[in-house]
Amino acid sequence: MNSFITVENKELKEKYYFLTLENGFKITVVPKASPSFHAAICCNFGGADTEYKKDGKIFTLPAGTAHFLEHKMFENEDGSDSFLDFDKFGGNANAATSFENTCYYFSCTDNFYENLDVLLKSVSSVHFSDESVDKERKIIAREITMYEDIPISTVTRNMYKSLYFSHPTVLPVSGTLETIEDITKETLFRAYNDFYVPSNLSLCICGIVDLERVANAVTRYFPDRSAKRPETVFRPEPLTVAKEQNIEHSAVASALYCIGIKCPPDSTDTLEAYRKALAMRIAISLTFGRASDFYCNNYESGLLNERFYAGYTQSRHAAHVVISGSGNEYEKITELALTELEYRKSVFFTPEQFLREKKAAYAESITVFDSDEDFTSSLAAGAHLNYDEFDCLKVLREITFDEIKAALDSIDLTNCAISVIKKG
Amino acid sequence: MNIKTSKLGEGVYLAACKTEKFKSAVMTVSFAVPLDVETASGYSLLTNLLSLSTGSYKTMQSFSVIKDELYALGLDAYVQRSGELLLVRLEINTIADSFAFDGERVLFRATQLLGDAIFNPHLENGIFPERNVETEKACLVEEIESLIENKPAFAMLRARQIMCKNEPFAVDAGGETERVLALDGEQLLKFHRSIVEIAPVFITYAGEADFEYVQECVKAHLNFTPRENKLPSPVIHKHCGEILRVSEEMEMEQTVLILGFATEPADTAKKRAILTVYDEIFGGSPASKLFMNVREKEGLCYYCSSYPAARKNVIFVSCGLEQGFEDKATDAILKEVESMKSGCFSDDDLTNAKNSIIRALKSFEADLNSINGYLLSQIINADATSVEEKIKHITAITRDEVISFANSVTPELVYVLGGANE
Repeated sequence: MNSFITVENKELKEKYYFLTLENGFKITVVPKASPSFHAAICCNFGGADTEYKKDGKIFTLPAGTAHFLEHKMFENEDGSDSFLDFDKFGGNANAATSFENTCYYFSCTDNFYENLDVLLKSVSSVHFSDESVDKERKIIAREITMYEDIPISTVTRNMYKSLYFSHPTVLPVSGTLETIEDITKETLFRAYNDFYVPSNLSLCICGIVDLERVANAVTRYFPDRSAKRPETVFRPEPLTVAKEQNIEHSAVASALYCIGIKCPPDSTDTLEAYRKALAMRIAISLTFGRASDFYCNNYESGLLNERFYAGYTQSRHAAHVVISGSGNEYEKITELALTELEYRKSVFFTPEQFLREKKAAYAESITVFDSDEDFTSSLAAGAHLNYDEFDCLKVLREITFDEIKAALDSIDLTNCAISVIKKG
Repeated sequence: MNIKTSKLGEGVYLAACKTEKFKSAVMTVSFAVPLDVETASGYSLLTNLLSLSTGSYKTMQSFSVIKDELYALGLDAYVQRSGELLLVRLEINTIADSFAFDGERVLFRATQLLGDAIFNPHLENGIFPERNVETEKACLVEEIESLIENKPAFAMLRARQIMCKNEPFAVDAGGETERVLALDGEQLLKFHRSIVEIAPVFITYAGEADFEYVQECVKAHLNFTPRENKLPSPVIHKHCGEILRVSEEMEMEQTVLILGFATEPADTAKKRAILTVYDEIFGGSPASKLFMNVREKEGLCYYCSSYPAARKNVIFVSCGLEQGFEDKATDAILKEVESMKSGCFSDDDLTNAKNSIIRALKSFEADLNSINGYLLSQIINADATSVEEKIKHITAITRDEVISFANSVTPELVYVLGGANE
């Protein structure tokens, strides 16, 4: 008998059940009555895991390995496609890879346990042949070139390349046409065996299901394995930027720009680190958000438009402020944005502005519970963290004016790089 | 789910769905006008101005601040194509009252702001202020021209323009640069009058509020005068009699191939159900023939999907290819079109396709936008059918009916958007 613990937030009228199996596999169930069931299996292995230590030895993986593995995961032993198995049971399945992790998920209205069986079967074993890997490489090459035709994706990628010297985020999650050439059947087997271990996997389900039956199904497909996730190796990354400016040309309406300001990285799995990141996000929103002096004044003068965005990104061993948009006067916008950040260090916002921003952030935070699908994926991906969505809301309530100011003050404007895609 | 509809006056309709599943709520107001190249740009620019400021909140900043005070209220205005209609839409996305602090009636205040944006726009000397018009013209032109940054979407627009030339279906709902630049504050006032006084209006709401509360908000702040509910029927597309082959160049890595097909009109609920089942088997899902054969078996592309147009008898197929593989991919797609005609799909394929569609239909209530889309379809289409009726139609579709429809699918366009040949 497995004992799930109940985690509840009465104010939000939300709860979930959580269980870590003996082999380390984590299961979360959100008991929501809805016409649809959602389930997601998440592996804590993503695009950033290109170098790792196991048994005292360092191993490397070509960029794009996690994503390549995701593409091959729905292939059955007989070469058939799991999508057809989901289809047979009315399930709608898909998968996605990020820098942090890889998620496999489905939605259905009927035959939940049959669909869950297909998902567990797919992720608990892999089947590759040289031929099928070669065929998939061609499909992934088309995916990579598709992204290369999206200028906004290129301008963001170039900003990463300018900010970082060797962090894995300088290469796309899907890899490049060159790196995927180095991915073989053997590479994929090694990555699968090292990272798809039960303690590195989580399942989240949204729907009214039999907890015991779910736990038994997982145990059946993932029998006890003592293997532990290898430790990902990140090379030391200085706070200075690799390149201050990167300019390319492409078919765009007007120049696209992406300004990055490198920040000291923090761990990503503790609530304390989340709190610091939240403080930075609120500081950036106060400075550049839709109600800010900066945005409104420069929008009205024609410098900015609806495509303007400012935010803060934190991933393992990397963190930066990002300011992006479109407009041929990107040099002036950069200068004004950096000046505004410096100015706000001395003339900070009022407590009223801070409270309004918190109110807005609260409303945005609780909408995560509106989409069963998003909430399921978020809980599956977050199962490896030491906090959950309820903790995040608590932190939002507690966070102080001084913390926001300290976050803004910590931004070092000298660690700034800009990527531009000019027209033509 | 508890859905109620009401005719608030001639040409003014309300549909609301009470659901306690969400912590937010969405209300939409859609004005339906004919999709016309002469007017699309004007309506498109108008939506930019209506979401910028109001008569009560004259500056962008004061408008943004009040929205933030209302728990980051989302208030958007935009145009959207629906077959050959242009929907001029304004919508609010608000926190549910029960999650607001101190029992605030957020929906009531949010509807007030929505009403302000619609009935009380920011005017100076009776027209839209010139500086606002000029700023928004520049923004809209940027938006229109940035379509080239999304190659598949740009290619789809070009395919529609080429295949459905001289039909409203070819009009880009967002407008055209030259026409946008020619607009002024006085002309925009005419477009504004046409939505506020003439166009039929459809209001939808999905969220925790009961129907009486929604009606109270609507009556207080969205009190539209009666108007004629007269909407044009879609023009039936006639095959041009040959296969048009058009290639265009742009600086790009990947080639986008669009194939256009004319079909028999799906002008009844049953025919729309047959089209849906056909599309699911042919190219609308990861288990479809296009995905399984053109992508998985042939390895020709990353995506290859079919897109039947809503209430228009055309289907497009889109895929992204390596340069030089256009003919091979065209042959592979046409082979699947032919295989559908000769009934090369199993009973399991048919059953699975139906199950997949029924799952999607049953799942519409999982998302506020889907609910609002469903509510709008129920009040805007005279021949609307409920989810239950749709499921009945889908369940009853036979193999012969799908094959019969497949035989009306006739290729008419091969459009290629690619980089220059080296």
